Amino acid sequence: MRIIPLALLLLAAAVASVAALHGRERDAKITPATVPVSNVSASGSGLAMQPGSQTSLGAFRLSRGRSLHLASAETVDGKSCLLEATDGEGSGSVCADGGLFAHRKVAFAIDSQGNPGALSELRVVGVVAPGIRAAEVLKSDGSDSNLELARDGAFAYESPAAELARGVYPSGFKLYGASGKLVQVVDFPTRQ
Amino acid sequence: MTRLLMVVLCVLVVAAGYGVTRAAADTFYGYTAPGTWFTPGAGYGSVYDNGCSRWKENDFSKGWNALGLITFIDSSGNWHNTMQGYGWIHRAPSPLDWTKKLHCKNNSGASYQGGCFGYRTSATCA
Repeated sequence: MRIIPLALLLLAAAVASVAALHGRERDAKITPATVPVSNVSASGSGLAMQPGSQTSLGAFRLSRGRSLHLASAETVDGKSCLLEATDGEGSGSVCADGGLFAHRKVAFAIDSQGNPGALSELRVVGVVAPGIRAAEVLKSDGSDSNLELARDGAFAYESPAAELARGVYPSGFKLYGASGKLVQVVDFPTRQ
Repeated sequence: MTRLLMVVLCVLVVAAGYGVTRAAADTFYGYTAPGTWFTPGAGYGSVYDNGCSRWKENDFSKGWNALGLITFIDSSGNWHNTMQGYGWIHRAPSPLDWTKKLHCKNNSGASYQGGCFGYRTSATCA
């Protein structure tokens, strides 16, 4: 007769374990557990990514020895996302309906540290559309810098500290096609 | 009596299993209403977090042609991990264990509708 309570206890423990495991699986769906690039964990709790949709866009070496990882992915509700993750800073994403390049030929995010008007760090990360062969980042003082595009068109531009100190910020892109023809100018309509 | 105690123990074990699972879930918190109008320069903020429950994510849902920013503001008012972009933007800082609140802002020259929200880690204090 003493075996019956013991069996009940074991059964309850098994049910509890299954329940806990099921909960973990459900949580995994709202966090990017399926992403193949381990450092890019940027889908966010509010964005459920299509399993297997993530494509690595490469890794970039930033100042102070940090690494930036970029990737693209699709959400289950049809958004296309640019994902980023930086050592020691966390992750982020920019998502749009209809495809990364449905509205402009570059998908990008502007990341910064510091208060408005006193930024200690600023970078522009992104990826250009297929067919874009060269790109420049435009700056608020009228100057520009060439962007070094990776194999899949990804890029990361860091503002030099001297420019930040002078209040010079990236203000847009010029995008060029294979023949060197200007394809699109994208402005950042920002005001701090 | 022994049998009754065993049944009670079984129930507690099952409840504990579910309780652990529930405690692991993050909490959604909208700090603007969905479809809020953002005029140029308009910004909204959440409450500050605390050692029992940390903000772990900041989201700004808006249209493809709406440029805006999200950031984390520390207890001294300083901005960290700011991100600007079009469409839905999301940022998750690392590490999490510092006092902060969420902030979103329309830093463009045009008005648009959107919504700002975040996720907090489950409360670890009684």
